[in-house]
Amino acid sequence: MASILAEHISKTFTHVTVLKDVTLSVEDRSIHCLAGENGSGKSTLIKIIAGTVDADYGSVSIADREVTRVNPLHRISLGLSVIYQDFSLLPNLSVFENITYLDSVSERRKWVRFGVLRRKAQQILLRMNVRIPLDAPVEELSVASQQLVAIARALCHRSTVIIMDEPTSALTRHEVRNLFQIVQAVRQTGVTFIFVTHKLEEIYEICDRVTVLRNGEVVASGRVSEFTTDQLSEAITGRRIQIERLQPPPPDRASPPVLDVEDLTREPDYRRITFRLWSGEILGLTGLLGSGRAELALTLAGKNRAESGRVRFLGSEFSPQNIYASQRLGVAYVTDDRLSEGLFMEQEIFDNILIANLGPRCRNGLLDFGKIRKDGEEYIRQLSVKARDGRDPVQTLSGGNQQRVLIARYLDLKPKILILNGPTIGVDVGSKHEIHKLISDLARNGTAIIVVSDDMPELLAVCHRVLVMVNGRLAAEHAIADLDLESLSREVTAER
Amino acid sequence: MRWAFHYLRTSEGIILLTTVFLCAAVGLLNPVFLSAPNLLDLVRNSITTGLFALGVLIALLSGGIDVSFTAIAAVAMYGTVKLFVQLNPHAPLILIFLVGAVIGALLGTINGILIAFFRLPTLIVTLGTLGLFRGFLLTFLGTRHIVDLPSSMIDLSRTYLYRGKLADGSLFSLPATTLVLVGVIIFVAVLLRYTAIGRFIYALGGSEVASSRLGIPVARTKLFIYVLIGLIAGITGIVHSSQARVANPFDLVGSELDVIAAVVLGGARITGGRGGVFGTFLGVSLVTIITNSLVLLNVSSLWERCVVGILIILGAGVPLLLRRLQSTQRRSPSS
Repeated sequence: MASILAEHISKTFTHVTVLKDVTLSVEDRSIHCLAGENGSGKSTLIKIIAGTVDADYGSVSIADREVTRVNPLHRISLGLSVIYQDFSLLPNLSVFENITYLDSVSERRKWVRFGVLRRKAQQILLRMNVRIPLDAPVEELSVASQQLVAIARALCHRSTVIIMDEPTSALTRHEVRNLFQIVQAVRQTGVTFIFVTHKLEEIYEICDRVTVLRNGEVVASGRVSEFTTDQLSEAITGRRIQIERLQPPPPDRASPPVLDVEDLTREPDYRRITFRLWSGEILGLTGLLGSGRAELALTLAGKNRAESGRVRFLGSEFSPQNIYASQRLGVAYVTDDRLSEGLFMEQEIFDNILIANLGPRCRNGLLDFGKIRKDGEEYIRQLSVKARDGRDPVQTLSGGNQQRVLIARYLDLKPKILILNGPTIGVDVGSKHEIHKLISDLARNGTAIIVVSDDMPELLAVCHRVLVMVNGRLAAEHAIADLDLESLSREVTAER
Repeated sequence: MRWAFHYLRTSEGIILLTTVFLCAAVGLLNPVFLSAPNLLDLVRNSITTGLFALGVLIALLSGGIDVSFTAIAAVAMYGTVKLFVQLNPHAPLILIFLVGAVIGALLGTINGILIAFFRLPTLIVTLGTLGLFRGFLLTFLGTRHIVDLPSSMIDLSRTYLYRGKLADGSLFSLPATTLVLVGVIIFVAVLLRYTAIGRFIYALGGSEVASSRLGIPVARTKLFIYVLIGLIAGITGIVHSSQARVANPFDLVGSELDVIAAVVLGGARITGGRGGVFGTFLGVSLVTIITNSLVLLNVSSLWERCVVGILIILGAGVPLLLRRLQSTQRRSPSS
């Protein structure tokens, strides 16, 4: 029996086909993996199953009941729960209220009986065998506990199918193992899970069956045991496992370094960080979310200050007051969140590229639009941004092209050090490759580059060296030649 | 004991401490402050603000804001009084309250529809209707003060729950309108704590996206919120006018920010989801006490604004700073 069956699903968003004739069949009481890269269409498929997005063609059924025209709430009451990446918890309310909320909503109770709810939540947590303070507001819990609360909420509502969207992206290995144990235990009680992930080792560790999406199509489906790691990896990425190495020739380490970081500490984000960076080098900085990698990058960018330690940039003391000051000195930082802190989505592409450096485009203190246009077009050509017109708002571009516009802005500052945080987040495979080549070219021309990323293939593709941060400390430093995918991911998720 | 210690570090706790401390200090400096006439005066002066504040609390909890409630109250007050003066000056009190509440609720419905179904930002909508309702009042209902209130409203203003006489012969009293405040406090407290819709309001303020994914009827809840605020404002208008023994169309509007300040002072988070009736009660009390005690201490009442301003920054800021400090400590290793 199939507990979820989505057949022949197709979906097109203005011009872009996101899903093409996709069929997903999930057996009752199985743990089914839905795998695929960013932009492969997995989130859209999840939304279609949940009912928050309508498919153009195709049908969905839950427990052999056709629900294609049924609204999301009704699907919830049929036993379907989706745990989104953000968990959709109510941060201001207590753990037990969050766990019991769905239930009280769907039963249309008019009055709230705290005693009853609290006991109910307690039973659920007991069944899952986890300990979380029932009365604490959810916003005070760790990410791992919040996720358990989300699962408890689904169980409390007697869900028979739980879809988890990238459940492990912010968890340590210990927390992941704990989560998997709980998922296994819950499955024994008759619940079906759909795991959305792109991490191979997780697929093998916990899933029975797998369906792989790539560019909106099913490229592989079956029992996990039928596939080798290489086959799955190729299905997901569309490439052989071989990672194309794009590193330019290694830098001359005999020369003085561009950046010399010594004992840098900012509690509680990171402590005693020491490393050097040479001109023409691409240095990877990796770790889990919350490992301190982003905070360290932001300190170098001038956004937050270290408490102690020393940074020397081109031989002199470097402790910029703010981002503007560090840009003046030659250190540029490209954010990992272009939507909310990178681009001005409604503004022209030209303006987005040149906004950080308008000085040279002024004449007599007024903007010279001719020059803005000329320079803007030059960057569009140089980075091959696919745009109809540089005066279009940047939001009309695809993710990959938006990212190039953002990078162009910082190239214009002619930095000595370019810090790229998540340079290819939310970017299609083709653009990703282009951006990697761009990074490589920049280094070849002498820019020192720091790539902050948790995308292991990316690090392997472009970096000379990788620094691994675990819980605020520099856990390891490796020359990239010594590394493969598995050993690198093992280190990143090491215990605290 | 630990619970109490923890409580005193929340913004509600800080305001409670401040209030107690302030009462003690002012009482020591000028014993008149703690005398029965003065305390009852405090109650009387806080009734209008207190009623308004409960409405504002609901808006803030849901993650929204309402600045139009004073205009709603003014329209309900003036409209109702004018209606009954012309039609039936001897109508029973309950009918007058009913009409005031209905006018308030109708105007609140306008806010609610714009916010819930057209999904417009609450501040923009209520800023707009603040002007709109007030303009409507002054243009179409009139600008004259009405002093011949319906008889039952005058009776209400002369009804006291308690009257006393001091040794020097001066009178003091607790007005019957206090009962309205107490009633609305209980109603709102029960609504927020023990009913599903009350929890919906908190949920909305926590995360609107999560709320709708959970199946909470977001639009209906928002409509309910703004209708309810309008209804409370309508009742407040009638109470205010009875107490003042005049229906003054220029009254009330202009005090929005003071009310919002009192609610924020009482620990309601401006971004929604946190706050409660008791905190709001404290916030309103504190603002009233400050105004009153500055007079008793012979400080120019012009200082009131400064003091309230400082208290808002302290009341909202200190708990934030404490929490930031705590989370820093928690994340750093114990070694």
